Amino acid sequence: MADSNHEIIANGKRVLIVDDDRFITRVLKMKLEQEGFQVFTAHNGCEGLEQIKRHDPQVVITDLNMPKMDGWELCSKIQELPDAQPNIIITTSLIEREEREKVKAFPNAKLIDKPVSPKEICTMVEDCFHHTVPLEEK
Amino acid sequence: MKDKKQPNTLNKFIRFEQESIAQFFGLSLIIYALLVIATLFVAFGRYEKINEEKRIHTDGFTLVNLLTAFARSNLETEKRMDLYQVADIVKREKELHYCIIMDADGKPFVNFGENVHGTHGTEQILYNALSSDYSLKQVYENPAAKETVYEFSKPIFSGGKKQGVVRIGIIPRNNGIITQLNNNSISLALLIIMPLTPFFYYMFRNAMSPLRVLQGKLEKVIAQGEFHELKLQAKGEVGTIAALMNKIIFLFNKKYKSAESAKKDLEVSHSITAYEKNKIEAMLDQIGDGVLALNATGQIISANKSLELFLNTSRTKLIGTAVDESVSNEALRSFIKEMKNLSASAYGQKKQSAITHTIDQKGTFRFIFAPLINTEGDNIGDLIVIRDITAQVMAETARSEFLSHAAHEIRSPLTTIKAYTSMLLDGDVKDHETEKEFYNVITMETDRLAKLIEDLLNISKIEMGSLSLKKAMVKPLNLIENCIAAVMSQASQKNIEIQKRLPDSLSPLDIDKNLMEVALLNCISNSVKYTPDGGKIIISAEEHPDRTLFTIKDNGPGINEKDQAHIFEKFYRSDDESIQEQKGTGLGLSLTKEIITHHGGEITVESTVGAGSTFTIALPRETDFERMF
Repeated sequence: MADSNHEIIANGKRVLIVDDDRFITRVLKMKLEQEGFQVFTAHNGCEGLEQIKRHDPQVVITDLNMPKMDGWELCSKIQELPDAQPNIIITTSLIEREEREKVKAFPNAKLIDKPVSPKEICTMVEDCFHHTVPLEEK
Repeated sequence: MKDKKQPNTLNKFIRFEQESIAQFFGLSLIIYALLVIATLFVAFGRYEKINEEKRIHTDGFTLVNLLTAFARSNLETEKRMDLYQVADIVKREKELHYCIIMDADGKPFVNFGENVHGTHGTEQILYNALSSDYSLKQVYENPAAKETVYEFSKPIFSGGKKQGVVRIGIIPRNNGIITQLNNNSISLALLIIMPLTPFFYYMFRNAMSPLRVLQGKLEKVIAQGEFHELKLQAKGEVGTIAALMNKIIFLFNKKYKSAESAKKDLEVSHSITAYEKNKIEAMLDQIGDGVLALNATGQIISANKSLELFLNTSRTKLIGTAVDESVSNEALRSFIKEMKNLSASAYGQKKQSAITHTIDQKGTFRFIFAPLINTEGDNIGDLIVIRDITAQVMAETARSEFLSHAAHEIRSPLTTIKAYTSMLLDGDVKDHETEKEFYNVITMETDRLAKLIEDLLNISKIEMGSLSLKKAMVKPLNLIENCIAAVMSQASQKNIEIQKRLPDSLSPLDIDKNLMEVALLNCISNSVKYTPDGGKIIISAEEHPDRTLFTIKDNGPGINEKDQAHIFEKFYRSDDESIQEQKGTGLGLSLTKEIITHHGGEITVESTVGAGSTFTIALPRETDFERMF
């Protein structure tokens, strides 16, 4: 299966969903796959980082409130990665301005308030692909 | 007597003066008298001597005439015996030194005198007496007896021819006392000096002794350091001095007494001030806020106990010092400076300002500044109050954290509901199975949300203290059965066996039925939630005299030690994978614990990782005795 994986990785628009809420993860994955994206999932920041390293998604959708490593920490870790930076969409229920300001530290990231509709997420992901560096096509 | 005090001293004063003069006069008088007496002695002595000489002169010639006349008639030998007797009588009667009748040749035929053998006087005297034809007075010294001899001689003429000579010698009588005294000049001098000497000595001593006494008394005064009047009986100048010293002492004592009295008054007023100050300080010490008072120049004049604690210093180090020097806390110093600047521009207005600061990370404090203005409107100092608001801040923080958590927890199911609903609405769900699944999820999440809101409401009621238990006698067995029934479907879905180890009957408990059901259900549903498929849950109950115990034991993953300490905290959820897999609010056990605690009961957990958990709830039982009332 290594080859097919390689194929998939090389040709796809890859999206990673990092969220401890399985329902959300499920529904977003479903929607995105319907739209032709390749979706990977992770339940916390640690898993998410691993997935990024392994699959190199162009877009990462992450929650903030997760065990083991929360959303902000994940963003910092992503910034430290040597390779090209993915776009980050942060789903949040935060209302405090000071907390929301934190997103300014990550130029590749933007916030979206919960509750999110899968359709909105989809649109945002598509936008990312239109504005980012051209895909690696091998 | 007009003034009693005055005459006393004045009289003394006058008397001393008088005595002095009298003394002086007395002394001079005595000396004068003595001199007069001496002079009289001398004069009188002189007079006596002259008188004696005169007597001798008269007597001498008279006697010699007499004797010569008699001798003339009695020269014959046969009459010589009469002459002889007469001469003897005369000599004795008149106390003559000698009486000699000689013939013309100088041969005595009557010789009465001390020297019966020879002639008296010198040859010359004899010759003169013999040769003279007239009465003759001769004076000569008898060297042997140191006496002056007056000789009277007269020739005896009979028939014109010198028949012989009568010679008599007279020594002056030295029986005048004064003469005697005069003759002895030394005794005279002694007579004068002797009474004078002791007198002088006495006078001198008298004069000196009061001075010595005065000296002694003054030395005593100095040694003792006490100022009493000198008790000195002295005359003259010494007495005067003593009186003046007494006056000085009197005046000094008066001044001293008034100073002492003033000092006592001052001490009393000091004590009162100190007492008042202590009273105020004691009152201030009771206040939990730190109170710092400054005077107009910025010096600390008061600091209460609470301030000592906050600033971690003692008030003795603060009082009297300038704020900048002794207050080490930067925040407080700059606050005071800032406030002082403000109050200067807002002259005459009472101003209060409040800023929140932390002191040494120990907590959060609010500083309040109030300038002290007197009735004239002058700024006489400043008051700074430091209030520990750490608890308040913590409570506020906890509350906002709670709200934040709660909001998040609420949003979570809502998000799911919305997402799933919109997927369905958008027609993105193609197959029926998935559709059913989605509806289920929506239902579940709605239920979860409802429960969450219920839990949140209960928790906040408990927090605010407005939760009232609606107690009634409830049969515990019924309660348990209800809870088991509630989780039955979920349990059977996971193939979890629920075993009941319950006694046939349990005494009713005085509890709030609904809340207790919530409490028990939380525990039981936790067990069902977290025990993996095929697991086993044992629910048992035990009745003791004072309490009833309920135990929920499962063979799930167990709770690690770290989590055990926190599971009853609000919103706490273990990081553990197996726990995180399940949906949870983290409120269940917290609410359970609150409900049980409000009933006077207790909940405990025993758990080992991999071996399961046992939750024990103990509820107090009313005793028969208590129930009677």
